[in-house]
Amino acid sequence: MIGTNELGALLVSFIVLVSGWRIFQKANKTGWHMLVPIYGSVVWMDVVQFPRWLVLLPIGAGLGGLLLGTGVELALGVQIVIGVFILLTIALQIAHSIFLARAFGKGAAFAVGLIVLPVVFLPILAFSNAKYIYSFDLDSVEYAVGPDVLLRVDDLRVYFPTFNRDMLRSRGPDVRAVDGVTFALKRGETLGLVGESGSGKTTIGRSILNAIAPTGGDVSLHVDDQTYTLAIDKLIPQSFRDVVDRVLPAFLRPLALQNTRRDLLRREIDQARQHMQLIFQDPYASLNPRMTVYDIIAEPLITSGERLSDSELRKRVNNIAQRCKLNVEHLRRFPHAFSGGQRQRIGIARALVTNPQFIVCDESVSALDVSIQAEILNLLADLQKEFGVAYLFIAHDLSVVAHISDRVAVLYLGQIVELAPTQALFLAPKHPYTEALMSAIPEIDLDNDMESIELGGEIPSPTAPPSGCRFHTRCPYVQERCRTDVPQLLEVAPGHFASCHFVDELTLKGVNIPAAGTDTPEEVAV
Amino acid sequence: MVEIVPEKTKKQLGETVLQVNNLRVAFKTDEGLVQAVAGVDFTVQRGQTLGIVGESGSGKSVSTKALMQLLPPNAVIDPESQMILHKADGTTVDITKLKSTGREIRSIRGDEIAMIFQEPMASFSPVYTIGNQITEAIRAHKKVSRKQAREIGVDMLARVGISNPSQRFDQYPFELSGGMRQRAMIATALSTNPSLLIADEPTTALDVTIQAQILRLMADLQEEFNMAIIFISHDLGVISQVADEIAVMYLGRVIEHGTTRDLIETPKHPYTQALLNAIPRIENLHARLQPVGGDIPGPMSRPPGCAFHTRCPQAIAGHCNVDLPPAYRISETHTVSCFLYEDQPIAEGGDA
Repeated sequence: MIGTNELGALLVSFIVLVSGWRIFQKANKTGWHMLVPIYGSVVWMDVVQFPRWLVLLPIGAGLGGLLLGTGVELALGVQIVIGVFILLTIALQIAHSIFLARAFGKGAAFAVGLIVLPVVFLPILAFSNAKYIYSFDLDSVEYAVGPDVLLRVDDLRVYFPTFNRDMLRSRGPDVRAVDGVTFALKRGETLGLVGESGSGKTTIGRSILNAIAPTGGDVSLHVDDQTYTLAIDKLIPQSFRDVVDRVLPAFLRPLALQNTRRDLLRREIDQARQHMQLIFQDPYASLNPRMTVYDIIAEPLITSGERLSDSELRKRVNNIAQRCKLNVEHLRRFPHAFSGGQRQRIGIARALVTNPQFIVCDESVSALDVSIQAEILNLLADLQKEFGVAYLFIAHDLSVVAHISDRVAVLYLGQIVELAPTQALFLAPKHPYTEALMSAIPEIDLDNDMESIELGGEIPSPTAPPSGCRFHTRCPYVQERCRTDVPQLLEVAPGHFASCHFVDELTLKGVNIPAAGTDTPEEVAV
Repeated sequence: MVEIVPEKTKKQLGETVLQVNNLRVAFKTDEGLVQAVAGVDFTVQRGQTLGIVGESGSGKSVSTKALMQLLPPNAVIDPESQMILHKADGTTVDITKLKSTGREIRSIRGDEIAMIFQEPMASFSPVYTIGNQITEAIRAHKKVSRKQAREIGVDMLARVGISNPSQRFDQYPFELSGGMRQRAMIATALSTNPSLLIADEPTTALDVTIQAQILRLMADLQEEFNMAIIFISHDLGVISQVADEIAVMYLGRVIEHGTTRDLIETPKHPYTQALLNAIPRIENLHARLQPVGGDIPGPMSRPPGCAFHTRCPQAIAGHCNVDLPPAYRISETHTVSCFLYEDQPIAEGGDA
């Protein structure tokens, strides 16, 4: 439980405590009573918050008892206890601020954090309605969703900070990996996510699972009449935001909000984890070579907190291994004894063993050979039918995505530019970027000579996305308006969303399909 | 401006650049000898692209690395193999006989035969500028001054479609994006004007849009420089777009060889057919895929007879698992190593 971070914080707290004691002694001579009301309320606030009162209360009680026991006057005893409380609180807050400062890099930012945070942050928390913030009820967040919606992602944003190379390691512009993504996933559905590298597809998958903490937006998972809130903009009351906005400098605001958010969400996320899983790309890198396959598959069950007896555990692991076409006799072996395709099946079995409702497949077939890839795709489809699990299928290979997905979302620079049922998207794309992607697919059909639309240049940097429509720098149909106006993602046909100013004016080419796909082009006997 | 397309490229189309006969490569390992390439024949002609398709472990990369003597020290090229390179000055040389560290192979590497790799970040040195690395290749093979080499290099960068080439020339690889790096890689490879370019999965690490750019660029440059290309890929879609002929490899052997149209439209070998069927097609969206059954056998457990018989739905018991199928000639351009075509004449040269 206690890592190096915590130990470091404790050490710093101790140093601060010793030096703080000297300041306290000096203040005592002059009139330190003035500080009591301010810091007293801070202490009260800290008492409300769970981990701190656990530390502070026994110390206070113990110290108070000790003092009274040795015959100190009651009034003085109370004052000393409050004084110790104050010092401990300051120490804790400083330790806290050190964590924050670490996020800004070392050096001068460290010193700034050390001084600014206790001075600025404490009074804000003291004077704002702190109790209200910390006791906000997660269950009272209501989402208007249909009964078949499993996952809702609303305005999801994930930014990564950058740092300049100067002495202060000052903050540069954020990398906006995901910048306002909204979609819903139905039960048992597969949503494909395509886009070039750098478009944010992996970041979306990981931030939904909270492997990367989202910067903003709302994510909720609805399983068995329960709603798990995984990311929350709504959760932080406006009153608190107002105070933060007014008092904190701009660069500290997201941090203050994010920390509050994460504290609140930890329990919620832990509970939701067993309902969502991830299947990785590289089956050689994602299995621990020192664990047997049985242990690898059983691990999610053990950590999920379900108390299972050994025989129950064995039953469930064997059952899922069989479903994933693994030989139960081979479960005692180590991963090195398996081929790439078998390893990927182990990864799938591990993901499915907790009976999740939602699985993120992050390039799960990209590293496999074509002959094996087909088998894994079939297996994923079969398991979906059997368990009713929903996939968020992330891949760069458009034909694979087209094959497995019910709907497909096309991403560009961290935003969805088009979202539609697979058939509609591939036959009649509504966004120029989708059209360009389609035309770039290397087709095997030799007579279907489709001219690929060459996109000039490469995907722009997400630190400084282009103004207006983000695609305008590479769009073959660009017009003046695209440079300035930001297009909205609008429903252009039932279930078909696209964000382009000229949706109605452009006629875009989809994939050519000979004779509406009535017969398969290859009639080879195999 | 230095003339960078000298006389040697003004040769005729269709002239043989490289002829590989019965190439066999094995690796010495602790567990024994692993036969990675077990008898491969192919020829490459000027101005033509030979596509080599195969799954991992099929020996496609090993056989092309053997062409440049770039294999690790534990690899053994069978001395009976022949890799005959027709050099630009009219002489021929058998690469098999050359020492992998000798002066002669070093004059071939990068000059006669150039190579581009899958991962452009891994194949450029991160501590030298792009220009530095292009100049190094040029000056290793041509007697030019630093200034002239720079001129050639900048010109090459411009030709591969890098904007602002004289500025890019002095940048480090990490300052370029993936697509740009692959372009710079191609520029480096072509700066010595090779007769044969080996492209080992050059677009696998790139996005589809960038892949389309690079494929088009390579086609344009092939026309301009009139060189032969060996294009290795596991992606039949990519291969069918760039290659004139395709060789399909399975466990160290070419099992089918023919023009692109032969292979894509009338695949003969059960493996080629299965491979084509396993690819998800956009035309028939939710049709169930037909995977190739079974797994690729490990390198230590090479099946006897036809290596594919363990996964082949049409395997003839007692024949396929015992005898090695020779190459049968289906048409002028199309050969296949499979006993299903036993009624066809055996192609001279033994193997496909």
